[in-house]
Amino acid sequence: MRLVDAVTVLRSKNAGPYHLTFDIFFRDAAAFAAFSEKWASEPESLGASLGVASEDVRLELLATLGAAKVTVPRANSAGAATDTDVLGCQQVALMMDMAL
Amino acid sequence: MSSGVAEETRVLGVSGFLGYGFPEQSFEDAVARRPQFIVCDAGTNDAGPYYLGAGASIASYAACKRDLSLMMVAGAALGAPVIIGSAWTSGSDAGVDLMVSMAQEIAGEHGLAPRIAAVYSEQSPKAMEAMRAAGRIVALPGQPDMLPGVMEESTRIVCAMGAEPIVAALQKGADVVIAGRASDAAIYAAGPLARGAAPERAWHAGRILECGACAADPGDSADCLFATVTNADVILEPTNAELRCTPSSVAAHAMYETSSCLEAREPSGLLVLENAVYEAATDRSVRISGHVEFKTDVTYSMRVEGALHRGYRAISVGGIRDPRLVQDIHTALPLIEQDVRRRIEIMGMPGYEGSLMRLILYGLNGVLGSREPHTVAMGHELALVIDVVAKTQKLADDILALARAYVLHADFPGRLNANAGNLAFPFSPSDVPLGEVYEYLPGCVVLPDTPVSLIRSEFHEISS
Repeated sequence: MRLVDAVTVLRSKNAGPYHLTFDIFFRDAAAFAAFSEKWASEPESLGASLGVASEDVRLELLATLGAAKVTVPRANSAGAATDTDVLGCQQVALMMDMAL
Repeated sequence: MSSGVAEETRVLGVSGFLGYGFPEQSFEDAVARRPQFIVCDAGTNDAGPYYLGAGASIASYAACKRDLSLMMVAGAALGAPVIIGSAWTSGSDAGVDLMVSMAQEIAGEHGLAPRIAAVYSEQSPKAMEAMRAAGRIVALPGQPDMLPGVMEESTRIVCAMGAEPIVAALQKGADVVIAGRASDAAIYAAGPLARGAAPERAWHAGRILECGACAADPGDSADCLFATVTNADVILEPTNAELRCTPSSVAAHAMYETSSCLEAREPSGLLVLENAVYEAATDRSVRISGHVEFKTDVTYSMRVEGALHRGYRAISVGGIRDPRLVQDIHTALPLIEQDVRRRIEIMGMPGYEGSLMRLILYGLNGVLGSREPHTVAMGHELALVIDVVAKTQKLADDILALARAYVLHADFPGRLNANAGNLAFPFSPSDVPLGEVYEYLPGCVVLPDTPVSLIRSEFHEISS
């Protein structure tokens, strides 16, 4: 199953000008559990999908909310001359097709 | 203003951004609940460094004035201070001055006589360079150390104040506070803190209020959110009857635009939300309680935002509809780009070497760039943005003129339309000078002597 099929909210946004953060709210406890199990044990593949080193991925799992938060450094600071997404709000596409 | 521990403090967050235009009905219903503070954030770093560098606002003067007028008239009637944070998007000194004049204009039009506090947090690049040399500038995690001289090259630097200078202005009797760059949560926490509320409740409320009714379901950043803060809990409710706060909408907002949902660093402390409890108070309001901590065993630190001038930009936008070019664009465009660069180099333009030229191709990888998993264009048309950044506007314009002409007439395998053109321009002129380009300083904090040592406050009295 793809991540996009297992969520009620999936968004990306700047967390300040130097970080990008992804908020994931899962459809149900099973989806949350599947995600937690897979990515907590494979942070390197999460990093690879997002184009950053695995040690740069910060993953928070919130069982009570059935949610996860993934924060990574931006390739450029927001609005730098080579940026392509000043608010970071369309980077969410990087996560949609991930396997759950 | 009363001192000591207050029973409850009522704070109205009118919207997520001054000038977004909250509905008057929501506002009237909120005012009927007698808020003691009427607050709105007017700043953001979301829109990028241009607004800080150029001193520009993302919201119009007219829209800001409309919102501030309603806030000031209601505030005067209720005796509730009006607090505006991060004035004019970047919170520069000039932005504070502009909004103080706006407030004075409003006071004149409505026969009000407020005491207006202007609270400035812009820093001189030279003074910040001295702070760096003294070891008082600390890189944010993952950010490079600040190199000598870089801060001094900044066009403008602000630092985000905590709640202390705003609390001080309230305690001196300010009716309207126009603050420079400030922590988003601080401007909402300041009122409860000034009334002696528990810091963890004040800051948690501030964290949720900072985007207006974004924390509601459906979320709306252009609508009002009402908070009642006590030492035991915070109750949040949108005043628009069509919106409601649910435990998940509020909890979800606690993680919005922040790198962590478990904790939030403020200048004076660390808000720890791990054990926060979100539960329905009514079917439209949420009570947040639980063991929330505001840990103050940290070094007082303020986020520094600086804009470095990086040159001038010019762009051209064109559509590609020729199916032969669309289907092969992933192989054709790199060849076209190579050819364009070669031809510009032949022209021998002084300064070209230090400039940036990008071909941003929407329909293939314009948004994700090299991380885009799709390798061929799947649609039937594409948009190409030719982007040039150079050290002067003239040079950017001149390089763009060449690049646009060469892309327009570039050859590609299978071209049938001879030299007619590869780009459908929606505009004449096709080229747009975009002005200054800025870049944020590397992320860092400054360690001030005291919470107010880098802040300056002035009072403006208006006689009615």
